Amino acid sequence: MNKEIPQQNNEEFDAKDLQVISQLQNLRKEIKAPHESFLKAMKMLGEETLPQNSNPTKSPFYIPMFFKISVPALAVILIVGLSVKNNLQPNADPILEPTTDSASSFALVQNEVADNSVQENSLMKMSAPANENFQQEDFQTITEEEFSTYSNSSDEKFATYDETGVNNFVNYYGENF
Amino acid sequence: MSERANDHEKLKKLFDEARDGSVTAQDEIYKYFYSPLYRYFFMRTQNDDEAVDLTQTSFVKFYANLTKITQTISLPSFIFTIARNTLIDYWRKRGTRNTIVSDEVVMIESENQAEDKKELGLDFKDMIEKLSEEQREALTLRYVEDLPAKDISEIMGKSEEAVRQLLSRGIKALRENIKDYE
Repeated sequence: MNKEIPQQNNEEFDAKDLQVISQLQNLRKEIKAPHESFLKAMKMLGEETLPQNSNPTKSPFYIPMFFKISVPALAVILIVGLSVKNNLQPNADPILEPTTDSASSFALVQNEVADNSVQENSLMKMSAPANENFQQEDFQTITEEEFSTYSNSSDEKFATYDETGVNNFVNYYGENF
Repeated sequence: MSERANDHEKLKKLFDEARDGSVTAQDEIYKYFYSPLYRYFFMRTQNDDEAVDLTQTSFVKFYANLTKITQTISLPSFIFTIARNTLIDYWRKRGTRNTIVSDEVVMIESENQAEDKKELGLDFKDMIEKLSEEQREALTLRYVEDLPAKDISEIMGKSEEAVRQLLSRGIKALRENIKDYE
């Protein structure tokens, strides 16, 4: 080793220099490193890199990014929803209290819903009376032949009832009623 | 470390295998360089705890950056460059270079302990402490860790000629310190 030093440093070393170099080399033996394990270093490495690990297969507690984003979003939706609900209540926070217009609008909507439900029920009753039996022929329309028969008839009540003048029929009955 | 100088091919193979993810190779590198790195840090900080922590931190950085190396660099150069940067970061964060703790320890030690140090050549380390940081680093890497001037120039970011000058001046300064001590 000492033979290499003058060559590498490209200098001449005297005995004193070599003595100094020898003492420096002795430090290699004198400075004892405490025992440390490779596993400790790997554990440290793992602790440093673990938060950056995004592989879901490596962690049983992995939470997909979708849910990480959705949970705060869900919280915001809930807060907004509760705020709206509070706005519709009479004892709501004065800051969040709704305007008169919006409250009355809501009341109107409620009334309309109530009225519609009543009307709907009434219409159902009217359209399907329990004691009436209609036959199919009741709903048959008048055929063209019958119509021509009626229109050519000398019967007074059909005299003015032709193809073009429904109103004539109406007018006839209207005049005669 | 003279064995290490002869083990250039072995280290190259270990380095390649470690980069390919071989845990066995990484373990071998750890065993091979743990003591040299510890000595490097101890020579610079004169503090055992700091040297241990810095050594472990350097290995963590080494493993974390193992797969990112693209340039051709020898394993000793790479690992000591990481160690050097780790130390610089440590000093920067702490705001000072030399440890106060080590000075306190020197002040309170007994005469017997001082004798022990002298017998063990530890006063020689105190003499090294009086060198400039660069001289101390160059001497440690060259004569304690037996690294060639080429590797030292890569680690310190200097030309080989500059490294040789540092070594030469460092030895002269040490000789002067020893002369004063005697």
